[in-house]
Amino acid sequence: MTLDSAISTAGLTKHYPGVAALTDLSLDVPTGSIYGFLGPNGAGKSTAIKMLAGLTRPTSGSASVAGIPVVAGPGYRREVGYLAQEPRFYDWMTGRETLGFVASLYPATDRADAARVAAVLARVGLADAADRRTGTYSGGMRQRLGIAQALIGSPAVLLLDEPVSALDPIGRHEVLDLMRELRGEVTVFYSTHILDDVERVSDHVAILDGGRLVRSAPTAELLASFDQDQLRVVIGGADDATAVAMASIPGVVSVEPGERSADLRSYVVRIAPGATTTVQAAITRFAADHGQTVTENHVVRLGLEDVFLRLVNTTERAA
Amino acid sequence: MTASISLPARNAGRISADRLAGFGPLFRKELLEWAHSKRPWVIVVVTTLFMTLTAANSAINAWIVANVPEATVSGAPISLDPAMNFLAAISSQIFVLVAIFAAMSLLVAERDRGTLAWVASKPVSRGAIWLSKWAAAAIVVSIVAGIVPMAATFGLVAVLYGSAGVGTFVFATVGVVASIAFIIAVVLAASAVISNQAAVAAIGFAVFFLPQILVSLVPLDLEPFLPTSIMGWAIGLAGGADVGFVTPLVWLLAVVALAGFASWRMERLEL
Repeated sequence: MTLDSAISTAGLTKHYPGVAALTDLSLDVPTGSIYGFLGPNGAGKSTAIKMLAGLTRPTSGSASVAGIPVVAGPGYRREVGYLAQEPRFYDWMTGRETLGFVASLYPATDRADAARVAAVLARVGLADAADRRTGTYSGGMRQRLGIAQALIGSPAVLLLDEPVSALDPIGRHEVLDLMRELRGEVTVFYSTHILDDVERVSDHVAILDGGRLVRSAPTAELLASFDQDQLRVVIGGADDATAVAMASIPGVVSVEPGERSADLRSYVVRIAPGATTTVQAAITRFAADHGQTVTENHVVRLGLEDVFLRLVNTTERAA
Repeated sequence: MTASISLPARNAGRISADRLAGFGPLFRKELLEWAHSKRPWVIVVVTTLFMTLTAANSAINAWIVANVPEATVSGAPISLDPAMNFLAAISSQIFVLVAIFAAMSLLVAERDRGTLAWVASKPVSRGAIWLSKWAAAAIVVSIVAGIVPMAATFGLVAVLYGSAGVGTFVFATVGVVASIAFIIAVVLAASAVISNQAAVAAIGFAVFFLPQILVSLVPLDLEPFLPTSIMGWAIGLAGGADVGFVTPLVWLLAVVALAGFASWRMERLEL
């Protein structure tokens, strides 16, 4: 664990009979970050979050929040605000009573008063519905109440399990805005499979597949690491031999021909790490030598979805 | 690899103090949940009707014999003794059946709904969650399935047959409340292991009724050593019998053991 880690796990593992739900998860989540935890269904995201929330015991390994180990029980859970994938509350309580009840579970020194309950309800946009029974809440309202109850104890870390996946676009937008507002105030660790949201909100990302961590990095850094290995090249006057010739340039890993229009042909050129500039120059020189015109020769910027698909579908998992 | 975790020294004292963390607010929540439910009203009506009608049975039979010329009484002669008729209402043990049905869903339903996981993610101990459910259920069910129906029965017996004696009422009520508290502890402890309401109820019935049947089959007098004999012990005490203090001690040990087991088991629940 580093000093500025809000969450730290070492070799966190959960195996059920016949199922390796999570294996050897070692992560350091920087304090104050919004950390996206990505993975396809069944990747082990919920299992990891439940272990971090103290709801499930690890088979092996350890986890801590703000330096307090998960085995410390109530002392640990004071530092954690948890939102389940499908939040459930007591239907007979109102939103205000629900927050009041959760607040009362914290020690007197940390306990939120009525004013803070009202402020948190207002913050999540539930001030008008505060005195309605939660049984009458819509899915979006339930999710926002879920974030409110996770926030009410002023925890060091929010653990949100798929906080937006069940919401309509408006509800999703509202919850993402709320998460963005929390940046710097509390560390947000959330799981999702909606990659656009992660790209918009998260400053760090970890990708899980088959119960194992595939990659963890700052979002921008992860995307940039893939930016440098792919070029889009469009050449006028190219022929069938052009792709073969480009493939023979040192540093080129592969060349995939793309669309054709008039005498223009496009190519996606995969290149070895660190060879970008050399390959770009070589392509320009090759075209000039063969009387062809290069109209595009630039790095392709991959979205998180492309990166995610490449990481979970291939063995391309080098750190 | 196995988990190897050592706690910082500053946390050690706190962890032992945290064993009942959250009990107060959880207990209040449980009482409020009972207050918001129709269940106590149903229990009090059903149990009171059942017990008062049982107690009134002799008076009704006596009235029929006196007023219907062709009516005859089969079996034992009708007794109009107040204490006998008051105890007849208790001997049906309707309160035990009601307590099992009232408690069998308390923990299981919370587990199914996901509210147990929600509450367990807060800074509370799981032992406190169990204890608050037991304490609230024992109090509420004791009132609605024990004290109120017994008071109504005692009143009706006084009107129909004369007073059964305040001592009989008080000791019998103590026995009923203790039986209810015990059986709810059994049902909730079973709920910490099994997540099926029918199975939980079956365990409740088995624990309460099977030993009573089994001890009658062996030549030794094992009845004082059963926590389920607490009712008989209380009634014996009311009647001035020398019943000793083994049974209440066994009852207390059994309840403490059930609470300890359930708390241990709750900590290991995968939520």
